[in-house]
Amino acid sequence: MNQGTDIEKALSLIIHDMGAPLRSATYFTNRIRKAGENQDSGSLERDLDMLQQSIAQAQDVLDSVRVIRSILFHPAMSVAFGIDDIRLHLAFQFNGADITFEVSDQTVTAAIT
Amino acid sequence: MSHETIKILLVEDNEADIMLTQDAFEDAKLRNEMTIARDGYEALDYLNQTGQSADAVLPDVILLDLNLPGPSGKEILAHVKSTPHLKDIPVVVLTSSEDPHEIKQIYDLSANCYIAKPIDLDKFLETMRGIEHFWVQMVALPMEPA
Repeated sequence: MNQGTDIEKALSLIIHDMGAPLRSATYFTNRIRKAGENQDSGSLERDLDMLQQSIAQAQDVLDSVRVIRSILFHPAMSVAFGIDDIRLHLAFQFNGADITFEVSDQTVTAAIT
Repeated sequence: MSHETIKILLVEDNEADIMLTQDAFEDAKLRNEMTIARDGYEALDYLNQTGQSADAVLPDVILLDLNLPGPSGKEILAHVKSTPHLKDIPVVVLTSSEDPHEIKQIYDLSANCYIAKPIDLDKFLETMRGIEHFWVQMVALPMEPA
């Protein structure tokens, strides 16, 4: 497969997967600012938790991107990866399609939905 | 339009997007009642009026995110459009992807419209208000005759 196309697909997926947590982080930051102004400690705590979740989601995307970089550009290296990393990797290959898995023992069967 | 309350089913797993959509629809000129399904199973239960949603009233409009835990948005869409008593309910598909293949696939499944969620917060709110303005205020929705 053409490396330029791979990179284009990878960039599109990163934009896709990073968009939601970034939007969430902005939203909850605004809410935290308002809760602070109103001294609403209940909302403040809940929105801080949500902000942390958004950051964790963004971190997950970055972690997957790191693993995929290892798979794509260092194929001889031994790399530990999970099902989500394989899903993202296959999504690169199949143009962003949703991938579902059935896993049995060592064999992974994937289907594009 | 003579609608008293428009019933909206929002199928969305992202808590911030749920809250943002509710914020945008809160200022609506017409009354609307929003029900949230946080995964594909909840959405199917609601639409099939099964499980905890046995008494659910069918929605007038569905706002459907594609990436969901459980059955995907595409599966929900296919189910709605292939079920005789659901197929007339307009489905507005909301997703982050602008992939032309995916857009074609969604319209092939008979979605009523496909909207890419903007990453920018203000643009996202503006988009949701646009959806509310069009689907709640402007469009004549299929209703049971009185």
